[in-house]
Amino acid sequence: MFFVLILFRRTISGDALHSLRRSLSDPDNVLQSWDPTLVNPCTWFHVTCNQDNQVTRVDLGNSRLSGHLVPELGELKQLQYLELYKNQISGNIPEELGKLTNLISLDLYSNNLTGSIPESLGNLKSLIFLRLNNNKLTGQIPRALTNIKSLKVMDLSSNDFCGTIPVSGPFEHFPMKSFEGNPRLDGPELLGSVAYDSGCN
Amino acid sequence: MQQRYIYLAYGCVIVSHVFAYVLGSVFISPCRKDFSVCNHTLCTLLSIKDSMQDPTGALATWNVSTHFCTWDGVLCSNTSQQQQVKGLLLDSRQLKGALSPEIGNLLTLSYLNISNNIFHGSIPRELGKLASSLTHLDLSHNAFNDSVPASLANCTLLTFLDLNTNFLSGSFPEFITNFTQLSYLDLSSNSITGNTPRDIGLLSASLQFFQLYNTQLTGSIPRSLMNCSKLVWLDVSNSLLSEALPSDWTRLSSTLEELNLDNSGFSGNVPETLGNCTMLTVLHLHNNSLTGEIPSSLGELRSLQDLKLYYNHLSGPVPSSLTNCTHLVYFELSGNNLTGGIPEEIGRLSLVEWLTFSMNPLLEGSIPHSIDGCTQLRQLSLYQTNLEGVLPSSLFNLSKLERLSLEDCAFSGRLPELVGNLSSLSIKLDVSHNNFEGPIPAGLGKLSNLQGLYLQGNNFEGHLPHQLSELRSIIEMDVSCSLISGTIPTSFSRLASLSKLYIRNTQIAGPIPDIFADLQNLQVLDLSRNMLVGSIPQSLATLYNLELILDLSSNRLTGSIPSSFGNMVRLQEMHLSGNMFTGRIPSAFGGCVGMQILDLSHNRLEGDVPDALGEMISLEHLDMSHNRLSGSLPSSIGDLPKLISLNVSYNMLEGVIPENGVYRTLSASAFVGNPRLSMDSPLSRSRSSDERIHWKTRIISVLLAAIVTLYCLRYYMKRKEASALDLPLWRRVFMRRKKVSGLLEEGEEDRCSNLEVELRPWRL
Repeated sequence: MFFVLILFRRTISGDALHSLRRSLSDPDNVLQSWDPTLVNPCTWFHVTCNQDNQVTRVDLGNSRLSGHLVPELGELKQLQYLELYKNQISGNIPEELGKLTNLISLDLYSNNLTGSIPESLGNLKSLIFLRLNNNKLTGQIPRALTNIKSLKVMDLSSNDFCGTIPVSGPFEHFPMKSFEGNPRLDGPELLGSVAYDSGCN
Repeated sequence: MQQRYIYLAYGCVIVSHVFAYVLGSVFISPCRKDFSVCNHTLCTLLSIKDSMQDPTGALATWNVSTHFCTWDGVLCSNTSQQQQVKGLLLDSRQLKGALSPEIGNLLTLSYLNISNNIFHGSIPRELGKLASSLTHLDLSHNAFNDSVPASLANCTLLTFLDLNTNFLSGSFPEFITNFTQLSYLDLSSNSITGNTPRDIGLLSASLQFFQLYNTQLTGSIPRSLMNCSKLVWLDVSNSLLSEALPSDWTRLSSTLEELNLDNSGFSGNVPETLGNCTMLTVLHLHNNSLTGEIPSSLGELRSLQDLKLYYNHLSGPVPSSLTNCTHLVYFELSGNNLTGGIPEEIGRLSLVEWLTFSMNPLLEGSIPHSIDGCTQLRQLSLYQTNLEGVLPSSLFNLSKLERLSLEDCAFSGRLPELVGNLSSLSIKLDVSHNNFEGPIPAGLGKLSNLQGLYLQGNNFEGHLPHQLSELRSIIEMDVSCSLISGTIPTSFSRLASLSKLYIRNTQIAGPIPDIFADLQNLQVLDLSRNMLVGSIPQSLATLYNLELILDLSSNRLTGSIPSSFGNMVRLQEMHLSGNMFTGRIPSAFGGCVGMQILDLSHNRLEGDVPDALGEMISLEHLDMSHNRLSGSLPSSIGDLPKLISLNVSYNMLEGVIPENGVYRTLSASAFVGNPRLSMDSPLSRSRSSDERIHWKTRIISVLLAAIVTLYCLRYYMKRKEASALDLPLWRRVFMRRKKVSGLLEEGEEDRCSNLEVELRPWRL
C-alpha cells in the first residue's frame, strides 16, 4: 500500500513524544489521547506543559508499557520530570537523555532496561532524583554522576552494576541501600587508592 | 641470426602472455565451470552479491552449486533456449552496501526491485545500459545519495520508476518527461531541489501515479500536469511549493482518485473544477495558505471519503452541497475563517467519523438537530467558534462518540442528564468556557470510560453530584469558575486514577474531606478561591506522592500547616495564601527539595522563619508576606541557588536583613511593613535612605484610603440593586488578586474573569 505521510502543524516535542509512542507497546491504551494531529502535545494526558507550551513532565509510571525508549526524548529541552517507572520497558537508556539539562527527576525504576548508564547523564546539572533501581543495567557507575551537585535521591539497587561505588560529591550522602542487590558491585571506591573495576569485563 | 633471436623473443613474449592470460583467467574467473550456459550472467550476479553485505543470509542460495535461475530473488524468462535473467526481486532483506555497476551487464533485465534495504552510494550510471530491457525500477527506501544519473535517460521503456525515500540530491531529472510509457513515478522523500518538471504533461498518455511529496521543490504544480488525463493518484504534499493551484482539472475528471497537496504553501483558491473529478475519494488540501470560498461544486464528489481543508485561510460558508457527499468519513474544516453555520442537513453524512469545524471564530448558529444522523461519529470538534444555542437532545444519541470538544464557544442552556448516553466517550468531554447553566447532571457518572471532564468557566450551579465518583477512568476533572455550591463529595475518594483535580473559584464550602488516601495518582489539587473551612485533613497532610501543585489559597482554612508537608519531596508548587492558618512555618519544609514556589502569604503564621528553608534547593519564589512572623531573617535563604523572588513584607520581623546572595538583589518592597526590621546595615540604609521612597509610601497610603472609601460607597450602592447572580454582597466587589508567579495560572486566571468574581477577603 502507498504510505502517505499525514502531517499537521507539528512541534518538535510532539514529534519526539510520537516517536516514543511508536516505540512502545501500550495494551491499556494509556496513550489514546496522544493525537499526532494536534498542534502541540500539551492537551495529551500524562503530558504537562509550561506557559510556553513546552513539555515539562511526562508521567507514564505504572502503565504496563513495553518496548524501547527513543533518542528523540533528548529533544524535550524543557523536560523536568521523566516518569517511566514500573513498566516493562527494555533496551538501553539512550545517551541523548544527557541533553535534558533541565531534568529534575529521572525515574526509570522497575523496568527491564539493559546496558550501562550513559556517561552523558553526568550533564544533567539540575537532576535531583535519579532512580534506576530494579532493572538489568550493567557496567560501571559513571564517575560523571559525581559532578551533579543537586543530586539528592539516587537508587541504583537491584541491577547488575560492577566495579566500585563513587564516594565524592553527592555520593557522600547516599545510603548503602541505594546500591544493594548488585552482586558484582564492590564496595565504595577506596579513597587514596587507584580505583579498580574488578567484576567488570 | 639476430633476426631469429628477435622472432624467438617475440614468440616467447606472445606465448607467455597467452600462458599468463590462460592461467590468469583460470584463477580470476572461477565461473569457468561446467555449465551449459557459461556466460557472463553468473559472474555478473556473483559480483553484484560481492558488493553487498548480507547479514541475514538472504543471498545464501547465490552460490555456484545451483543454477542462478533457482536463486532466491532471481527471475528468469521462460524461453526454451538460454535462460535469461528477467528480474531481480531483492526487497526488504536488510542488504547493505553498494549496487554494483555490474548490474549494467544484465542486458535482459526488465524488473529490478531492491526496495527497503540499506543500499548506499550513488545509483550506478551503468543502469543506463539496460535501456532496451528495463521497464520496472524500484530503488525506494534505501540510502542512495548523489543525483539521479543522466545515463538513466536512455531507459525510455520504463513504466515504473520508484526512487522514494533516499538521499538523492540535485534537481528533478527532466529526462523523465521523455519516458512516454511511464505509468508510476515516485521521487518523494529525497533532497531534490529546484522546480517541478515543467513538461510532465508529455507523459499524458501514460502517467497514472505521480508522487513527489516531502521534497524541497519550489515553485508551482506544472500546468502541463493538467493534461495527464490518466492520472489516478497525485501526491505533492509536504513541499515548499507555494503558488496557486492549477485552475482547470477537467481533463483529470474521469480518473483522479486521490489528491494530496497538503502541508505546503499553496495559495489562491480551491479550484472549482475539482468538482468535476467525481472519482475522488481523498482530497487533502490542509495546512496551506488557501483563500477564498469552498466551492459548492465539491458537493458533486459523491465518492469522497476524506476531505481535509483544515488550517488554511478559507472564508465564506460551509456549502450545504457538501452534505451530498454521503460517503465522507473524515470531514475536517477547522482552523479557517468560515462564516455562517453548520449545514442543517449535516445528518445526511451517515458514515462520517471525524467532524471538525473548530477554530473558525466566525462560525455561528447552533448544532443542527440532524446531527444524530451521523451515527458513526467518533470525534466532534467545534471548539473556538461562535456556535451557540442549546445543545439539541439528538446530540446525545451519538453512541459511538469518543471525544466531544465544545470549549470556548457560546453554547447555553443546560447540560442534560442525557449526556450519560454518550457511553463511548473516552478521551474527553469538554464544554468549558461557554454559557451553560443549571445543575451539573448526575448522568455524567455513567461515562465510565471518560478520562477528561472539563466543565469550567460556565454558570453551572447546585451541588457537585456524588455520581461523579463513578467516573472510574477519570484522569482530569475541572469544575472551576462556576457557581456550584455545597461540599466536595466524600465519594470522590473513589477516583483512584485522578491525576488533576481543579475545583477553583466556586462557592464550594465546608471542610476539605479526608479522601486522599486512595488518590495516589494525584498530581494537581487546586481548591483555591472557595469558601472551604476547617483544617487540612490527615490524608492530605500525608499525600506524599503529590507531585505538581497544591493550591488551597483564598479559602477560610484554619489550623496549622502540618509538618508532614515536608515529606512532599517532589511537590513543585504549594499555595496556601489567603487563609487563616496559624502556628509556625514547619522547618520540615526543608525536605521539599523539589519545591519551586511556596506561597504562605496572607495568613496568621507566627514564630520564626525557619533556617531549614535554606535547604529547599529548587525554590524560585518564596512569599511569606502579610503574616505575624517574628525573629530575624535566616541568611540560609539568601544562598538558595535558584531563588528569584522573596517577599517577607508586613510581618513582625526584627534584626538585620542579611546581605548574602539573593538578599542583595531585593528591593525595599520585599521587606516593607516590618517596623522592627533594622535598616542599619549599609545595604538597607541605601534602601531606606532615599527620602522619596518615604514620600511615595505616604502618597500610596493616601491613595489606598481613597480607594477604600470609593469601594465602600459602591458597596452601599450595590446593596440597593437586585442581583441576577444572587451572590453574597461582598463577593461582587471586584478585587485584584496578587499573583506570586504566573506559573500556576497558565491563562486560566483570565479565562475565569468572565464571571467578574474574585474571592479574596480584603485585608489592610
